[in-house]
Amino acid sequence: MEYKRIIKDNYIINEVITDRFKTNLITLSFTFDYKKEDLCYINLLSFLLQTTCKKYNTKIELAKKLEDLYLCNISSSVKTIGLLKQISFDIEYINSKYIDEYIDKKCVDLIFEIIFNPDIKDELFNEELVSLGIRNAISKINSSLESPGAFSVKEFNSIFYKGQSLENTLGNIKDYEKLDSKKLIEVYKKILKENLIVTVLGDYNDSEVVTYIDEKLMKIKEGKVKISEIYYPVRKINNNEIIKEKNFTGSRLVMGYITNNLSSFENHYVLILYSLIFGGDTNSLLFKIVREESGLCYQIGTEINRFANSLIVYGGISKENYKKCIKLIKECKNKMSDENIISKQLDTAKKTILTSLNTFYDDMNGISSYAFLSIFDDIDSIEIRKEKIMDVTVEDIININKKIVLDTTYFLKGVKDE
Amino acid sequence: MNKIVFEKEREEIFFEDIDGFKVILYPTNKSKNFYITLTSNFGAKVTSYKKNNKTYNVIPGTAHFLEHKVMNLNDKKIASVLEKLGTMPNAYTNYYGTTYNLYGSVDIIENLKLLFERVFTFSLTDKSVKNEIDIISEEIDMYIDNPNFILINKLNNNLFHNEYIKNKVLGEKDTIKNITKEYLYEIYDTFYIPSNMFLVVTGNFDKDEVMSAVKEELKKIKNPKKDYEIMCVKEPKEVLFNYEEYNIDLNESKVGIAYKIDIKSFKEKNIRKIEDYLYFYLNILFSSTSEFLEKLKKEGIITGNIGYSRNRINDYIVIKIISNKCNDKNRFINEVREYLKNNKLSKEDFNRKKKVFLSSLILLYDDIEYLNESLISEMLEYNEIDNNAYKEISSYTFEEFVKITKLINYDNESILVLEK
Repeated sequence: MEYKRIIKDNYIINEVITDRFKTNLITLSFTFDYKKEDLCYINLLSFLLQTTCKKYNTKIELAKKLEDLYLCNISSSVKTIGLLKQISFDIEYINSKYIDEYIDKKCVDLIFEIIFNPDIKDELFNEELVSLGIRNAISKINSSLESPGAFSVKEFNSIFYKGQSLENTLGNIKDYEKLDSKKLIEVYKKILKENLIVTVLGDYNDSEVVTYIDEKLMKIKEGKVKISEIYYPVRKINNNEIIKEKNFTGSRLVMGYITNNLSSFENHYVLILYSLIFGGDTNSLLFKIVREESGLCYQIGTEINRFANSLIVYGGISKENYKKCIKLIKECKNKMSDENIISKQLDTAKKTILTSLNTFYDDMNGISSYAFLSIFDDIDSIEIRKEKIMDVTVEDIININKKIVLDTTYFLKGVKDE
Repeated sequence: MNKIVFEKEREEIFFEDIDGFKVILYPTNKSKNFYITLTSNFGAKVTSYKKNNKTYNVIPGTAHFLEHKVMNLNDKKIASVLEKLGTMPNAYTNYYGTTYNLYGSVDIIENLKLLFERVFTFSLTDKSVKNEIDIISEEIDMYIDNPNFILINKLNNNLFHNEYIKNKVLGEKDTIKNITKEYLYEIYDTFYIPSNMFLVVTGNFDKDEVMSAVKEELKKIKNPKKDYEIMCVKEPKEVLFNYEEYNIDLNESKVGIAYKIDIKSFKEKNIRKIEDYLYFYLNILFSSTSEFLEKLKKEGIITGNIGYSRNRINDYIVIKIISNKCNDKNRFINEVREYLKNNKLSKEDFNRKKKVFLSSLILLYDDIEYLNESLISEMLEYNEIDNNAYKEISSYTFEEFVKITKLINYDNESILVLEK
C-alpha cells in the first residue's frame, strides 16, 4: 500500500494505491467547527446532495445512472470527530479491469456534479425534496425513540455531552419544523469554502484520476485549508444519576466515565487495551462477571471515544437487577487496578488488538478514514501501532484506571409489564 | 482437492467432500486475516425428526440454545488458547443452520484445531443449562419490543399453518425453560456429526496445509452416517390469516403485505432461476429506481423506502412488501395490490438490473467475511457451490423474465398492520 499527498492552499488530496480491492473509492470530506444551530441544516444537506443534482434531477434518474455505472455507490454522511464536524461524500465503483468499459472519469464527474452542481433554482433547493428530507429526518428521530437501546443512548448523550458536539447527532424535531430555506443555501455555500480533504483509494496504474480531480478542484475550490484542534478540552466531572421509566419490556443501563488528562500514548494505546479488558469482548471482566457468572444481563460492553475523553458502559438488563449491576460494574472497575488480574488479561488483549489492527487492511473505508484523520491527529501507521500496543504495561493500565472517573449513570427502566 | 474456477471474477475456490464433511477453501494473499466457519445443517427450521423409527419433536429455540452451549467461552482451556492467538470467536443461528466462527490472523492451524475441539467436544451441567435459560430469556426480552421483529414474526405466523417459520429462532421464554441437559445431548449427538456439517475458510492461508490439518482433525472424530430424517409438515395452500391489526407503542405505523405462492405454479425446475427473476422483479418494482416508490412518497402515503424480499419456505415462495413508515395504510395496501397486478416491465430496466446483479458477484470477493457467509448460505440452501452463476445470469432473457413474473399468483395474501 502506497500513500501520497498533494497539499494545496485550498484543499488536500490523499492518494492510497492498493490492489487489495476490486473497487475504487473516492471521498471528498469538508470539515468545520460544531455549531448547534447548523446541525439540522448539515444533516439535511447530506440527504439533499446525495439524492439528486442538476444533471440527474430526480432520485430515479440518479439511481439509474448509478446502476449504469455498474452498481456504483454514492453516499454521504455527517460525522462528529471530537470537536470537528465532517460532511463527506463517497463514490465507490468497480475497477474498470473487471468490466469492458473505462468508467473512472465518469465517476469523478458524477461525484463533482453531486457536490458542486446541486439542484438549486432561484437560490432555493427543490422544495419537495427539502420537505421529504425533513420528513425523513423527523422520522429517523422518532424511530430512535422506539427501541430501548437507541432511546437510552440518545437520552444519555444529551446529558453526558451537554453543550458539546456529541450531545445530539440527529437534530431536534422543532428545528427541522422551522427550517429556513434561505439559510439552507447559506450553509451549503459556507460548507463549500470549508476545509476539503479528498482521498482517492484503489488499484490505479497511474495518477490520471488524481490529476483529473486536481484540475477540477483548481477551477472551483475556494477557501483556505485550516487544521483545527479536534480533542475535547479537560471535562468537568459531574455526579449524575438519572432513572427514566418508559413503556418497554427490557431495560438499559448506560454509565459514562470521563478520561481526562491522558497522555498521547495513554489515549492512543493504553485506553484501547483498558476498554477491551474492562468490557470490550467476551474475555472482558464485565462480560465474565456480570453476564456469565451472575447472569444479570444479556448484553454488556464498553466503548471509548478518545477525542471526547469518554468511556461508556452499555448494558441490556432486567429492571430488578439495576442496583446489583451497578455494584458489579463498579467492582469490575476496581479490579482494573488489580495487578494479578491485569497481568493475566493483558497479553490476550494485545493479541486481540493486533488481530483487529490487521482487519484494517481489509477495510476500504477504514484505510480512507486513516488517510483523512492523519491530517488532524498525530496517528501512527498500522505497523507502528502494532509495535506500540506491545509496549503497554500492566502499570500503564493500573495508572489510567485512576484517571477514569464515573460521571453519569443513566437507567432506562422498562415498565411495560407493570 | 477440486478447483472451482470463477472466470469473470478471476478467482478460484477449492472444494473437497470427506465422507460427507464438506470443505470449501478460498485462499488469498490480499488479506492478512482468515475467517474460519464450521456450520451444522441444524437450524431453527428443524421442528421434528425421525430416528430409529421414533419421532422426536424439537423445542422451538433449541438450535440457538445449543449454539450458546457449544460455543461456551467460559471453558478456561479454550479461552486461554483463544487468548494466546488473539482470535475473535463468534456464533450465530438462523433457520437453516448454526455457524461457529473464528476470525484471526495468527496460526490458522491452531485456530482450526481449536474450532474442531470446541464444536466436537460437548459437555453440560444442569446448572449451566439453567443459567443459559436466564441469559437467553434476557436476549428474548431485548427483541420483544422491536417493532420490525414483531412485524416479521407476526407476518410469518399469519402466512403459515404449520411451517417452521412460525417459530422464532430464539424460541419463547415459555418453551426454552423446558430444555434440559439430556435433551440437548440427544440433539447434539444427532445433528453435530461431520457428515451433517461443513467448513468454509476464506482469507490468508495455505490451502494444502489447511486441508491436511482438517483431515487430521477428522480422524479424531466419530463420523456416523446421518441416521435421522427431518419430518416435513403438511402445509395448506391458503394463508392462516388474511388480515391482522396489532397495536403497539409506535410513532409510525408499519404495514406488511405478503403472498404465499406454490412453487409449482412457476412451472420451472430451476429454483435458483425463479428466485433470481423474482429478485429482479421486486427490485425493479420497489427499489430506488421505482417511479411507484416515488409516487407513494410524494403523495405522503409512506415515508422512507419500501422493504421487499422473496424467500423459499419448503414448497412455497413468500414475497413480502413492507413499509416501516406508513401514513395511510389503506391507500398503501390498495396501491401495492394494484401495482403488482398491473405494471409494465421494460427491457431497459431488466438489463440494468442484470448488470447490477453481475457486478455484485464480482465484488463479493472484496470481503473475506461476506464471501464466507455467502458461501455458507449457498451450502445451506443448495448444498453446492455454483461457479456458473455469472454465466447463468448473463443468459437470462427479458422474455423469460416476463413469462415467470406473469405466473405469480397473488391470491394467497396476508396483511399485517402495526399501529400506534
